[in-house]
Amino acid sequence: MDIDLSVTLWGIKFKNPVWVASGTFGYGLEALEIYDVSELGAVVLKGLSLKPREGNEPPRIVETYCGMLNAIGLQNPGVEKFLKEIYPYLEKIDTHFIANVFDESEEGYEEVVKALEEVKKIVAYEINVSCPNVKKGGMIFGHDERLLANLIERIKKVTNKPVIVKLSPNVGDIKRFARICVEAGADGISLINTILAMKINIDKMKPELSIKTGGLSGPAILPIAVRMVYQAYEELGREVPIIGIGGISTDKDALEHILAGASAVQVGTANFYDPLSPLKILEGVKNFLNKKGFATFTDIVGKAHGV
Amino acid sequence: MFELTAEVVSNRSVSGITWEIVLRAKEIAQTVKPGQFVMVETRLENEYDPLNRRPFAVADTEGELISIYYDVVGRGTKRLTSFHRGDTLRILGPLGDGVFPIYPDKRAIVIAGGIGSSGVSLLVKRMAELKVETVVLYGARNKEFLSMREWYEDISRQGVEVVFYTDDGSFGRRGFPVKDLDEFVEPSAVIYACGPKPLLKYLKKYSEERNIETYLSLDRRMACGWGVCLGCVVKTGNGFKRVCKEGPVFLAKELIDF
Repeated sequence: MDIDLSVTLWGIKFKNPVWVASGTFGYGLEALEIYDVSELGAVVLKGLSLKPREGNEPPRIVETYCGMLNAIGLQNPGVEKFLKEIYPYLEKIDTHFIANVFDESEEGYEEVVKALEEVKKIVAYEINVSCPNVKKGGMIFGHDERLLANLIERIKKVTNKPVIVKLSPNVGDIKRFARICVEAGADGISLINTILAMKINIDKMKPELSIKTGGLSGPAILPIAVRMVYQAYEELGREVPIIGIGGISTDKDALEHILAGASAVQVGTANFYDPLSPLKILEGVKNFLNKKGFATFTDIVGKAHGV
Repeated sequence: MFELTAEVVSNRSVSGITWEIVLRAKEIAQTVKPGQFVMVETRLENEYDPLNRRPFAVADTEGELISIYYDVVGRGTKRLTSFHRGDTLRILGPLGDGVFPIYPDKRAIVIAGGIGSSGVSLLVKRMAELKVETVVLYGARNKEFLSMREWYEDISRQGVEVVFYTDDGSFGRRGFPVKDLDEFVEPSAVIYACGPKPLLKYLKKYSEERNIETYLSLDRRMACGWGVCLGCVVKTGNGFKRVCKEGPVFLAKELIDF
């Protein structure tokens, strides 16, 4: 059977639902040395802010059981340099790009979005309100209902492209935050970002990371991510697309997210330890649909919720 | 850069805490440049611990084979010792755009500290082939920890001068491998080094005071090894640089904090 893996969201046709997550894939250029990036459904770009950001002092990463912590601090060249020096290379890659947008103020978010508005290959924005590794902005917006709604409303006013809000898992009631996003005009939500965590070096008797805490990612967080995608789908159903992120290493992990309600998934940390994992996941999802007798991918989105 | 399944040809304890693993990885063996490294998977399929691949210098090549020397110091390297002849593991490489440049007409002083000996061995081999005037100063804690001693003794028969050092004097000269630098360094010489941080920091200072061109190969904790996680950065005069991409070899004077 010919399986249709394409998924149309916000009127945009993505060739498949396997995307790569922001911060785990750079701007897509490094991967070109390993495989054909145009096989991916979409690439979510490393977070862009208005001004360049140096990021945090090292050490920035440490491995934990079945996972790792990072505290990169949104190091990026700034939107202007990105457009001048990096974007021209992306034009040659035959897939969609989604810009992950971050800044310290509402104005900053607006300016980044405006700067990217006429950029053809960037088809949507993922608004990062959930990075746990920066002092200003980021998670502050993701944890304050009023600030979050206000930010989304402001961004929606300056763009015609879909706005996806990347949610923090470090909140009590994920349904409430999902609902706030949609009420404020978000076109979709993606979840989860990393989970705030810490590892202590017992010999040095201090935290391993320079800023002490970091974001936990990797296979260890899969069940938490699946639970939150499931809850978000309970709240939103198919009102807006939900993009599943968190702990996806294999096709089975991706399918859990999809069955919980994700209309697409983002592979994150697995890119580090298995660069070909997105392609393997894509193949596995296709085989699963074939085996189970579904003709299109969208038939199984949210299927774990019963008929 | 190649992502491939490599067959384990041998994996043996050498001495002290050092092991040598030989992998069949044709594309990497035939393209690797001195200073480059590979990311080696140390977990079994469908297991996710230890999660990330580990970075190792390619110490030597022969035909389709690459050789890696590694100190067993943590979960990843401990797990790596459990692979046997005939097993396979995934590797990515060769990695790093920052490699050791070779100057045929300049005297080369190569300093190797401990397992850092495997970070400069391929360079020494190439220089021997190109008949570059080369002196290797190779030091370790004690005789047992001079784990590439045989390799360097072999290369010394091809025109490379090798001087061994041990902290306790159990083999070669007693002391650190930088203690007699003035004896070997001339103004136009180039210094190449790989080893523990204090050794590299000493060399940065030494070379800046004397204006000697010096290349340092850095070892950092890495998640990806191919430039996307931004976890392995060091501070340079031009901001943070990725050890895995712009490195692992840097001009000593470029580095601010490492």
